[in-house]
Amino acid sequence: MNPEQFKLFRRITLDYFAKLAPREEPVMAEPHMHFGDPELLDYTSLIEIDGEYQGCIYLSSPVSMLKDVLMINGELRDTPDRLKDMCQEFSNVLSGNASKAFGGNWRISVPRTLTRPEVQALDLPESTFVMPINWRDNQSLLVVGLRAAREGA
Amino acid sequence: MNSRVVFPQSVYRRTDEPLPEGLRLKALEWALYFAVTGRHTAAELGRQMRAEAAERDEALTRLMTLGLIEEQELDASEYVRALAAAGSREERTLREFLMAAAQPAAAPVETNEGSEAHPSPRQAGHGSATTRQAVPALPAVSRRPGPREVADITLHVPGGAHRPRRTSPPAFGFKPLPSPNDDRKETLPMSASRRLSLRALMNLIESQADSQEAGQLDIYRVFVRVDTTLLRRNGIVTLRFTEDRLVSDPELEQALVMSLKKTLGLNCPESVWVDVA
Repeated sequence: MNPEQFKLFRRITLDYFAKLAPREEPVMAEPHMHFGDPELLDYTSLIEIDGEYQGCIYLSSPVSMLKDVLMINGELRDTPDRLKDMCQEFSNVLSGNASKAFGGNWRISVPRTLTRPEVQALDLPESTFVMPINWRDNQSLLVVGLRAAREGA
Repeated sequence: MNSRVVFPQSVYRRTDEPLPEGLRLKALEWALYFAVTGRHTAAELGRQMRAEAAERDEALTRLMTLGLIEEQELDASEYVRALAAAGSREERTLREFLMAAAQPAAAPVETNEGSEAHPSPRQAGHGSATTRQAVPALPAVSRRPGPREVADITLHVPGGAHRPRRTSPPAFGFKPLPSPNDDRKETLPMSASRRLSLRALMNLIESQADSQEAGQLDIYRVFVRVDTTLLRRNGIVTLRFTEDRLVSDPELEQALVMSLKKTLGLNCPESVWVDVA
């Protein structure tokens, strides 16, 4: 994962939110590293990646964020199924963005949509690079989690 | 002199040899490997690692045998400074200090390295400030004063600012040797009060990168190799790239230094360590 790929991935993910509500630009808050159990919100769109490192990329969002996106798309029902559908939309976007940014060097899995307990049951990398995305009074977390593939970190 | 003999006052530095593939060392050996910079004596390093003299010497000998470190040659003044730095660094009252300085030839030298002290005519004659002297008891001064009594006159003997008036040559205070490849004037004495500054470490990595994003990614890659248990044990669960934490856990320090080397090929410079009061 080189810096240019990383920047491209981050930008096109922010662009997705910007297109949803052109007058309300998403803002990337100060990134940080997190060690241990993953930082998770209500629903998570996740893809696994494999290349120089093994790991995953996920976008974790609160219910309020998904409800907002549903509303923008004209969907007023916000049942758990609808929320999960919306999260699946995020997953597809994430996967597409990752393919575009990291395509050459990385193998990218089929995207998955998961609730918090479902993610907690996975063995995710313990060291993560977390980029909070603030949009319409909500915050999602765009997270890159890597582990050194060949040396066991 | 057998090059494999380790004297407390010996100073070592890393050789230019790259680390062999698959090299496996004990934790103390790794710690010493990364700690030797041609500035500190074997005794100082051993104290820093809280290692017994025998363990320390065994580890240094193995590193030398593997060609990873080598003893640095010293001139006479450097040797005397190294000899002084190799001794005890315990605090003394002014009275004790004066007594020790005034009685250098009256009593046998007893360094905190015990029998491994390398005898030297200058050491015995000058009564180094960092060498413990067995002083004959004197009625007026043999009692160690209580804490309140010594509050204003307690000296940290190595490098202490107060110098006793005396006719014999002055004791050599502690002063780290200059690094052979480092023309900076700063001196960072190794002591238990040294901490690795994560902010300084992250700044170092960012300064090597082409952009802030690239720097942050490099920082993350360095931390990916560090066991999260170690980080969490030191209270580091979340770390912003602009944040500072001072690390005092030698195991975590070592893991970070090794990861920096492995991931980015960088050696940790002295500037990432800070002295804390």
